[in-house]
Amino acid sequence: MSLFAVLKLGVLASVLFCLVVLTVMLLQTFTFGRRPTYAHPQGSSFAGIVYAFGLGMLPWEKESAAQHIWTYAGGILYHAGILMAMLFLATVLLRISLPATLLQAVRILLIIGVVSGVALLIKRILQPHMRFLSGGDDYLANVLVDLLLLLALTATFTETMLVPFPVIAIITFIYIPFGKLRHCVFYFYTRVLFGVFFGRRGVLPHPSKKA
Amino acid sequence: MASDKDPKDPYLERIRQLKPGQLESALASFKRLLDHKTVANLQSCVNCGLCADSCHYFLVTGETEAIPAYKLKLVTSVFRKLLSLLGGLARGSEGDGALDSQMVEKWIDSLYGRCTLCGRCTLNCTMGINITRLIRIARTTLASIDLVPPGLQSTVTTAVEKGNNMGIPREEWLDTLQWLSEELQMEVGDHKAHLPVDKPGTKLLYTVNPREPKFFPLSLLATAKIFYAASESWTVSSDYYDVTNYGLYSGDDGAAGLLSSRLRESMVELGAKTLILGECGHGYNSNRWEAPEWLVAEDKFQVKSIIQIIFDYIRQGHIKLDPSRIQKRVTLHDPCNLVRLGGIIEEQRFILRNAVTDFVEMSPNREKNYCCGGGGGQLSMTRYAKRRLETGRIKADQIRKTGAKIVVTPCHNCIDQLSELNREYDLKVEIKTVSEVVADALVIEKKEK
Repeated sequence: MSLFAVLKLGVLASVLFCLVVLTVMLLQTFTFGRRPTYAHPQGSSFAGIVYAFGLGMLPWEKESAAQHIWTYAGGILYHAGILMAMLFLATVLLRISLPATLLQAVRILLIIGVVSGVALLIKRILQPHMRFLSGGDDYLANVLVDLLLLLALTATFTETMLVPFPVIAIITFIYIPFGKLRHCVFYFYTRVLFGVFFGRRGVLPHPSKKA
Repeated sequence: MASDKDPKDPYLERIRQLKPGQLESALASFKRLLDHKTVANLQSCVNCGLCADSCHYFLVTGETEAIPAYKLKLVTSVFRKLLSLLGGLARGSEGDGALDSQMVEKWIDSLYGRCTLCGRCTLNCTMGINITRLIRIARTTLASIDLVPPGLQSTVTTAVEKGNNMGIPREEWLDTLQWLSEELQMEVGDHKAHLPVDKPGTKLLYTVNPREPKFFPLSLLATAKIFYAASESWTVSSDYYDVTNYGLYSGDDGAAGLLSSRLRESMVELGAKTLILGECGHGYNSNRWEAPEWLVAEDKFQVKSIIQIIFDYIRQGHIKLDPSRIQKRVTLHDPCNLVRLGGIIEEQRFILRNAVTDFVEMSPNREKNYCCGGGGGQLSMTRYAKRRLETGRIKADQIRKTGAKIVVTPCHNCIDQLSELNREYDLKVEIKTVSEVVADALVIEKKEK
């Protein structure tokens, strides 16, 4: 079996492992029980969920984003870069060669992603309150993902980097469920809960037209 | 006053002498309080730190122990230690996650002492984590081993034992209602006008913050005047009329449920159709939103804020207001529990636009408004009074910037805190309830023939 085939299997196995553990973690939440809600709703849970994934993501709707617009933008671009790295990983494993213009776009997104990730890491290191908040997982997760993006970027230029890229991907996928990277799944869960909470209480979406 | 730094403080002594059995019991309570929602929330924080500036404690003091993400970590670390895989990787400033007396001390200092449960961090959390809910769960855990800070606990105990949080005897309450009835008759020129007590089958059962009969009877008179003008069918209970519920703040679900159930018993006994919650932010959140969960039962009647009722009166033309009577500039403080956590957002604005000539908003406002600093039981926890007044600086600055001479807020806790801020920061403003402002603008049509 070739090294590439081994790496391909390794990535598939690590993705599978990641998905299985995350699924177990998701299901584990339900082992704590589901408490029905008894208070009569004043607004719509559904409208709240739509808000949570729509307007509620925009910086002018959220003070924490508006006041930290560069961090907000960095976060968005970082995640766009991660998504691009994942898609590029799929093309590498499936031996799909990308047209030159598309490859250029991939490179740009990966560069922006790496820069954003490193900037967020520097911010975490430099700001005293961020240092205070941070544990090992915060640094490790950031470095791991930055490396993933960086190796994805180098792999777009030279085939010699087609080995380290899947390797770091395997490590990342294995690590995801054990640290804060698990938010790739839990983010959607908590945003739904956020939408339900504020939606049924009639707080969000903002009822300014009610009166 | 016992300080949180006083080594002889008996409360701190109790914490330091916690026995393993008590800590195990607390941990068992913590586990029992978890459900799928709380566990999902506990798994989700990414330590982005963007919540820091949403907390008035952090904004004013810059103390890292005030950052919502840190408060959350205190709870999350215990959870991870308890349950999750490789939880130790997340270890940081909060400790190793063992619920020992040191962790309990941290919980108390940050989760009681640096939090008003205002929900601003929840609204601003990038992930959408209900940090407020998780902090309250930690408070409930502490309440399960009798570690609620003494001032807050005594408020709950008084309410449970005496029927209201001020410990007002029944006779005093009835006397107050009697003389307020006489005042009302004089004010409206109708000898039949009165504050009805235990009247069966009315449309509304009105509940009040006991601070009204005790210290601010004119607030109660103002509401009675509005009811009179609207020819409302209403009553108060002679026994259980206290809209407050400090069990929300202490975390004691048993006491909280008991206090809310009493209002519901009064509803059933008197056969009223709608439970009306007086101007009290946490009273609204407790009795409108949380009580059905504490009591594990849907309400069989409507539960509304007096603000919604006054809003309807104006909109439907049941009362007439003359805004020219209030010429001074007026601003509005949004109580967190009524607005951000309660969903009563626009009604009070509509009321003020109809009741005064010069209404200006604070910035930020509505669900984004800053807590005044008086919520979360802070007003009853004297050990944290210095912090409370210090963190109120944001609210004081907000008020000053409006140039308002009158600050209106539909919450007596907020009124108490704003009154203290008024003195502390020399704001030179009057502080009023919505009912008081509406009563001042009310055009009473003579009913007596």
